[in-house]
Parts: sequence; C-alpha cells; structure tokens
Amino acid sequence: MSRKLNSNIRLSGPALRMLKIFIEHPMKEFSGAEIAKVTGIGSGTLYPLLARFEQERWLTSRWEKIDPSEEKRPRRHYYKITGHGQNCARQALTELQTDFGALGWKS
Amino acid sequence: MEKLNSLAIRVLNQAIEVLPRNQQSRYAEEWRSHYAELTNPGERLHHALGCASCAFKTQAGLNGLPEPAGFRIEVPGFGAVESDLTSGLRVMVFHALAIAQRDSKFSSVAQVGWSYLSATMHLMNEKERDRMDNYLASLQPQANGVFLDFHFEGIKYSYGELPEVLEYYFRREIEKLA
Repeated sequence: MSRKLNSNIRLSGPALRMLKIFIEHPMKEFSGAEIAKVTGIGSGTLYPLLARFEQERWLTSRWEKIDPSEEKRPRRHYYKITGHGQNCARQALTELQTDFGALGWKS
Repeated sequence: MEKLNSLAIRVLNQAIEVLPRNQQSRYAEEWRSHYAELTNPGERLHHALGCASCAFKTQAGLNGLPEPAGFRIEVPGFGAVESDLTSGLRVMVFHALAIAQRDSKFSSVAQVGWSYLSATMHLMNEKERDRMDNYLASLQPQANGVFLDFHFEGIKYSYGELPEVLEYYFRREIEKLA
C-alpha cells in the first residue's frame, strides 16, 4: 500500500517507517546507518527515499564536522526533519488514519 | 570472512562508479561511512548490494528510463553479481545458479551466490521467504530447461529441490570460511 502526496512523495511502508523516527525525534539528526538500524530498511530503498524527501524539503542534511584523517573514518551525513516536513508528515498521517483507522502512532 | 568483506568493498566501489559523476563524491563518503559502522561482513555485503541497487535506480532516473528490473555487476576475481530488484536481491542466488549451469562455471559464479546468501539468510523474515517462493513459482511456467531440473555434484535434482540444495551447498561453503 502506498499513497502519493503533493508532487513526488509516495508514502510506502518503508517511507512511513522512516518518517516515524523523524516525527518521534524532530530535533535529532540521524545518519543513514542509524535509520537503517532502527527501521530495518535496506540501503537500496533508504538512500533513494532520503534523496527524495530532501529534494521535497521534508528533510535537511549536513556533513558531520570532523577531520576524517584524524578520526580515521569517513564523515557521516546527518538528516533532520524540517518544519515543512513535520507539517506534511502529520497531515499525511492524519489522512491515513482517517482512511484506515488509527495506526497507533504518537504525534 | 575476509572474502565477504573484500566482495562487499568491490561491489560498493562499483556501485559508486555507476552513479552520475556529480553525485559520486557525496555518496562515496556517505555509503563508506555507513559501511564503516557495520561490523558483520554479511551486513556489509547487504549494504553494498543495496547501494548498487540505489545507483542503478538513480542512473535510470536521470536518463528518463523506468527503474531497472535488475542489475549486473562484474566483480573481478569473483564473477558477477546479478540481481532482480523487483523480487529482492536474494533472488540473485538463484540467478547465479542458473547462469552457472548455462555457462558451466558453477564454482566461480556460485562463489558470489554463497557470499550473498550468507549475507541475507539471517536477514530474511517469513514474509520475504514467501515472496521468494512466489517469485520462483512464477518462473516455473517460463522455464527454458534451466529451472526444470539440474545436476549438482553428480546427482540430478528436480526444480522443487533447488532451495534445499542451495542452502546445503552455501552453508557448507560458509562453514569452510568460518
């Protein structure tokens, strides 16, 4: 089951799982690895989703501020939900709840 | 386990090369960072194959093409990684066997197959196994001989026995590595 919102956002199961963690922690930044670990979404689905949500300004992102040569690891790329994203996500979830009953999500 | 890590790195590097040039440096760092946070070689390979899937989808999108139904990556020293994206990456194992039979190169292609299966066996849930079964069932009517029966180590098996034979074979190979 998926639902198309606005222009390019399709709320598939993985998209809903991803949005859930952003909505539950609107001030927190997550790396792709963290999102994958919490949601169980594979990289092949996750990174196209992140790119699409960022393009639609539901998410914003930044690079971790470290010196990779000092830390001896690549920089993480962090994602955070925007105000616009929160509004759109809540609206979408409300519509889904209206259509299909309560999903058991806290908003 | 070193072999799995090596395969994962090669697949990840090839995935980055498939990306459009203007996105390569960003995703190279992001995907390598994700890779670095994983400790299990199976999870690393699963991540690398996911990145390959993402890269092929991105490339197709930029060229105005529909999302690809599958992809194939040549991995020097290992063979080829071939995947059916519509049915999940794990179907690669079955494709690998079919190709191996066709080309009579069981060992080299199967090397990729067992590496991949080891990456996904523990990640596969009930629903995914059902999906794979359905996919294989859908292949049967189109079988061109490859899927109807096959020989493995001198014994002839029916198509229906393929999953058990594969699981036996791949588990045995993984144990050799452990």
